[in-house]
Amino acid sequence: MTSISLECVRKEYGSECAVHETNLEISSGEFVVFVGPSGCGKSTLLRMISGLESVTGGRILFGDTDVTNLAASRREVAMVFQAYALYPHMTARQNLSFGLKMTGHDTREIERRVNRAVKMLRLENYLSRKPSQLSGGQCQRVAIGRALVQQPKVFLFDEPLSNLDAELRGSMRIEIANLHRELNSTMIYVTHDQVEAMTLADRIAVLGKGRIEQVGTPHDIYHQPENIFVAEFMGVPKINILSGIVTGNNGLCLRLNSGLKIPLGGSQLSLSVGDELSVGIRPEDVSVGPDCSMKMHVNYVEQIGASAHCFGKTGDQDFRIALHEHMESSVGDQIGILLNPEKMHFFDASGERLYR
Amino acid sequence: MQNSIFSTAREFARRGVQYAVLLAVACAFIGPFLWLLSTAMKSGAENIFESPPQFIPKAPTLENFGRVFESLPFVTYFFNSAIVASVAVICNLLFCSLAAYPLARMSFAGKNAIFLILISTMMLPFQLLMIPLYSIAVTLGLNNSFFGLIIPHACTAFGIFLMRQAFLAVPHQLEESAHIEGVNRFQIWWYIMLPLVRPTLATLAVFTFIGVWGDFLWPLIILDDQSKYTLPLGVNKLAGTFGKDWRLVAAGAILSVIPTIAVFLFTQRFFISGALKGAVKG
Repeated sequence: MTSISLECVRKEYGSECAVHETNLEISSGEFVVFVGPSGCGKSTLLRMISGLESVTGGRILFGDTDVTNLAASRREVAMVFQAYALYPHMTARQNLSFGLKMTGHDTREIERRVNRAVKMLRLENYLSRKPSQLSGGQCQRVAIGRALVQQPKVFLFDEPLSNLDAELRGSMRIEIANLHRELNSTMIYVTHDQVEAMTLADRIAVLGKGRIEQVGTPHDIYHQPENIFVAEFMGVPKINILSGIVTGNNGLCLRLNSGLKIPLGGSQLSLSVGDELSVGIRPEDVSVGPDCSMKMHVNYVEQIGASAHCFGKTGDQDFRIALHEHMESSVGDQIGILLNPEKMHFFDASGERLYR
Repeated sequence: MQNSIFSTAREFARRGVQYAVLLAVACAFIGPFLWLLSTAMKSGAENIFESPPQFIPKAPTLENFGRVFESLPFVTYFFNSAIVASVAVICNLLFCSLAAYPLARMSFAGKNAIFLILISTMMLPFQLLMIPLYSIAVTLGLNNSFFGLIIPHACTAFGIFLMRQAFLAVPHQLEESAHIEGVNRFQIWWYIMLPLVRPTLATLAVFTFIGVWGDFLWPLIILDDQSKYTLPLGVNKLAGTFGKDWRLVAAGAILSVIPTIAVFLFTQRFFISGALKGAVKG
């Protein structure tokens, strides 16, 4: 267990910058999730921490030790890969013990560590099977077990659940969360799945185009997004972003391109008439009622059990709302919607959050 | 119903044509071998050049095989060939896979240039190299020795190319995973990479064995001492010693190809698809 510091860490491939200067502090025993769309640099950042990828600039510290130029094998990290990376010619037991054997560990110590991992991950019945005889979930558990027996300072997970079906993903998520609770080790987890990020993380780092856009608790990331990118990336369905110009006759309003005006209420923002402004509101924060002046034309309804997601347009802007079970809607409906100023997120012309 | 009959008949005809073509190709390949076998089993009383040619011997006999053993120190030649071919195969597998691993998996300056130069040497025919090779061998005192016979086959550009391609196909994550676990490069090569490229090793073993076992020109150049002769030289001696007795030559040739067939049969179980099955997913 160790803390990790990234100081101005940068990665360039030729003239291409994969990760811009990044600073991040990860406390000892913390579970941090790197989340972002494909190609945002999250895996590259993880691989730099693991030592599998060199850094172009900056420093990586484990505790007080500078590991920037230390080989991966000497960093005392363990990594779980998306594609399992189990040795196909070895049984599950051999996969678990291989690294320890190669590094000259005592046979009894190997046995002890393997048995502990087997017990924790309930692998007893699969030990004599080869990876080709295991299911995806079993393979991934063996891969996690292989990381576990190393007793590393840091656990690194590179999209470990992406190859599993939805049900297995759910159960493996719980297993990983339990593992963290039990071991209390420093863990860094890369995913593009925001549900995994929200449910597993102590803190989430949202990455976009090689930069960390925001670091915070899952609650902060969802409820206090620092920019439009984070607001749009987190949340299903996506947050509604309405852009326009601030006008003011009777109180400040946001005038959309379609001419539609949204009252900004007592938003306590230092806004002036003529400012460019974007308002974000989560689909579940939109109120629905027949008397509301703002209308949404429903183009598509997605039933997901306890609730439904309605997709449509208000004016010329795409709009999404989440309906509760007792509310019904169908394609072609005109729904009256009300945007509660208290639930709105405000962003300036550059997409950065405006604080009240 | 009628449609079904037509489609069955069409399928039957299609299969018939397929099997006829396969049979013709198989005959073209196995025909010369069977003819050799037929010649070896014909007795001295039978004219092997009669017209029309007689494929099935009138009185099949194994006498010619016995005569081969009587006429020549065949067992000595056989063991000479076996030693040379076995050591050459082991050396080639070992050195080619050692040379190919860094070319496939490590980053260093000039890697591609080295590979290109290696590959380029495949364009040079042996006839162009044999004089300088012979000169080197004589200078080093390797003529008339098994060592001198083996050295040119101990590490080949083709072998390096083949192994490099095989190593390239192994998922990087396996190596990275081992690397993180603290496994060193040599251990990765030996315990992870080699078992995963077993089909390619088997292929290279067969190619090398066939090449060395059947090699005639280089042993002819490098060996003077008849006690060190390999089988091709021995079979050639049969032709020389007994003039036109092709029955004996055929018997010697049949005996000399048996190990090649045995090696192929032994290694073919490694030619399996899906050797990397279960390694990675996605």
